[in-house]
Parts: sequence; structure tokens; C-alpha cells
Amino acid sequence: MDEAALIRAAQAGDQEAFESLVRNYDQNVLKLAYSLLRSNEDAADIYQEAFLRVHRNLKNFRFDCSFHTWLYRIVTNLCLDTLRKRKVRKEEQSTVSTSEGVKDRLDLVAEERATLDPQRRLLSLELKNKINGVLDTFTPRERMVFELRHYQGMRLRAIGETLGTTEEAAKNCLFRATQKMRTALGEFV
Amino acid sequence: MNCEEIRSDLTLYYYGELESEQEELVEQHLADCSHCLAELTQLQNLLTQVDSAAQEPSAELLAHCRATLSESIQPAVQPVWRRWLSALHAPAWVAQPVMALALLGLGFYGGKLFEQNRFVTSNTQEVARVRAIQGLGDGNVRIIVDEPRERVVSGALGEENIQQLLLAATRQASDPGLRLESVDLLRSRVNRDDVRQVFLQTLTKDTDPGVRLRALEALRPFTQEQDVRRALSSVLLTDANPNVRVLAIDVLVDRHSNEMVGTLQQVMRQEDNEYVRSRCLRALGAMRASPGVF
Repeated sequence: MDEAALIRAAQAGDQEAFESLVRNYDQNVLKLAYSLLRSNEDAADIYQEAFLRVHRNLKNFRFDCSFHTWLYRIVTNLCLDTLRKRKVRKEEQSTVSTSEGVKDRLDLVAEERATLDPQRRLLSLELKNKINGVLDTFTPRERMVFELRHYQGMRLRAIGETLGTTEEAAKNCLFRATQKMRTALGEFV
Repeated sequence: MNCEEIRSDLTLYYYGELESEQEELVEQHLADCSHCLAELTQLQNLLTQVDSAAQEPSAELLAHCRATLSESIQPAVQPVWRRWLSALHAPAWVAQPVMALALLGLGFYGGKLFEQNRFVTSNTQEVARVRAIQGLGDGNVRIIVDEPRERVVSGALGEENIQQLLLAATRQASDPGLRLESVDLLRSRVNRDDVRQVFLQTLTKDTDPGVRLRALEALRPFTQEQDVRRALSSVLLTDANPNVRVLAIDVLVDRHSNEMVGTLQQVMRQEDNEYVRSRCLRALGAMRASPGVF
């Protein structure tokens, strides 16, 4: 079934079609949320809320943009809201503040179990710390554009469409983000 | 193009976002300018490092999210039978709670992972969907089936057609109460391969935690079977409901299968729920295994 047919079937109430539609995208959606928020709990919340909204509003989808764009508008809005709230609020219950930014305990533990030898682990962790540190200095919008371009591989035009801005604005955002990276990390690479 | 102009284009060049004419201009410049080429190389190295710093969610998190989403979506679809029921005067013989009168023949299948339109053959007759079930408490069962026209099938639990109908209900009934009822009635037949297979499917895929619990309990005598143990491992790591995860631990400890130690240690590493963690720890202690690194 091609995607348009899948969407129409899901709109008509076909639960299996909806399930298939979700499965086409949910891994990347979770990856986006987790990479931005670095918390199992927050990522899971975004996942639930995004796909529940899709389920509730699918009947209003009129094919005037791609389903990917429509879905990602929902996901990015939810993520941006959370990121903006985080900038205001410093700490959360299930998370720990580290030099890498806010992390939840499980992630910390997983990292500590890294199987690299001590020397390599130290170097790699230090660089990772630095990278995550720089990412934390990005504005929510810079973070989002960088994430979508670098980790999700989206074209800047699609990013602009998703975020409700121009391709030019997205380009400038990306440029500022990579400049921050280069300034902070230039000597490490 | 001069070096100043190139600088802002390098990032876009790296990501392949330049128009082809622009890209050509950049490449021409890079061929002649070692300084800009060095800048590009540095950018490439940097962005490669950024790749390796990517934070990926675990497979367990994805499984958990999927299961939770399914559970959230199911109740959102209002079963029509609830409305019909309030209008109906329930016949006297249905002393069972509401679940026994769940009407299924409405084109709605709650069990999305189950086969649709599963036709069950009974002797030479073709029977469509199970509409209601009543265990009569004396080893006999009464089942109402839908198309081609409503019929009542009665018989002893031991009869093949009764069991087939109950298996169909376990797999496809949209009402969890009906699925629960079927699992209960089929428990005594779990020695049969087909019943066990259906229970394993129910254990890993049913959207209702109560039904999954019942199926798990029913599989208790069979933890020496490899496919049962595999299903238990899966449940331990991915079931969304903590009570189900705890019961899975209890069932495993029952039989002291030592190869589950690895799985239990994995649970200790990733489990958030304190109650589940304490039961898991106790189980590891009973198996004389260490809690592992956590």
C-alpha cells in the first residue's frame, strides 16, 4: 500500500493502517526526541503525545503537505516547548545535572558502563562532554535546525517548511550553529 | 569567489545544500586555496565527531513506547456494543458481567495484531465470529457465534469445536473481558500446542494487561519450553505494565531456569519501577546469582 492509500485507510478507521503509518516514522521520531531531550521519560512523553495527536487529527489531514512534514511539525513543536521550558527551569526530578547538561540517571549509568579502555574512554568522554556542552548553548531553534539537518538528514527547505520559516532563515540558523561548534571545538579536532 | 564568501558556503557545501553552479564555484576555489581546503577538512572532522556523540534511544524504549501507544489508542475507539447494551434487556441466563455480551460483528477489531476475520471450522460447519461466551461451571461452555446467522453452540470444554471457538475469541475478540474469559476456560488445555501458541501470542501482543497476566499465569507449568522462556524474556524487558513484569519474574523463579540470570541482570540495569526491581533482585538471590553491574 502506498503512503497516500495507507493514510486514507487510517482516516477511515483502519487501525492496522494507522499502525503501519506510525511504524514508518516512529523510530526517527523517538530518535529526534531522545537526542534533543536526552531523557527516556521526556522522549517517551513526546512520542505518546505526538502520535496521539496524529491519531486524533488525522481526519483533518488534507494532503496539502507531505505526511512527514505534518508529523514533524507536531513533533518539533512539542520538543521546542520542552526545550524552552527547560531553559527556564533548571532541574528535573528524574534527571541529574552534569557537565554534559541535563541527563536522566539511566543514561548516566549506561555511559559509565562504556566498554572502551580507560585511555580511549577518557578522551572520548571528554570530547562528548564538550560537544554536548556546546549543543546546550544553542538556542532551541538552532538546536532543532542542527538536529534536523545533521542527525535526521532533512533538507533545509523541508526544515524551513516544518518549522514554519524560510529556507534562508534555516540556513542562517545552521550556519550560526556550526560556527558555535567550530569556535568551541576547533582545537579538539 | 574570495575566501570570505566561501566561508559561509562551506557548511552548506558539506551538507550538499548548494545549487550546482554555486557548488562548482566552491570546488574551483578549494582547488586553488589550501587555507579554505584546510577549513573544510576541519569542519568535516568536527562534524564526524559530532556524529559519534549522537545519543540513540534503546530498542527497549521504542518497544515500550509502541506498547503504551497501542494501549492508549484502544480505549479511544468507542465500542458500539456499550451503547447497545444499555438498551438491551440482558437475558436471564447471562449472569456474567457485561463482558459476556460483547458484540463483535461490527467490523472493529481491537486486537490489531491479531488476524482479522478468522474463520473457525467446526466439523463441516463454517463459523464466523464469537459473540459471547459463558462458562457454565460444570465443564460445559455456551458460546454465541455471529454470521451467517446467530447460533448458540454448547458443549463440553473437551470438544474440538468448542476449543477452536475459544481460541478464536482469545485471538480476535475486541473486548478484553471476552478474551480474559476465553483464556480462563482454555487454561486446562495449555498442554496443547495450538493453545500454548495462542497464549504466547496473547502474552506478548494483547493490548490489555489483565489478559496478558492471565495468559502468563496459564503458561506457568511450561517454562521449560524454549519459546515460553523466550516470550518471558521479552515480557520482562518490554512489557509496559509493571505487574506483568513482576509476574514474569515469579514464573521464572518457579522453575529456577539459570539461563534467565542474564535477562534478570539486564532488567536490573534498565528497570525504573522499584517494586519490579526488588522482586528481580530477590529472584537473582534465589538463583544465587549476583545482581550484575548496575
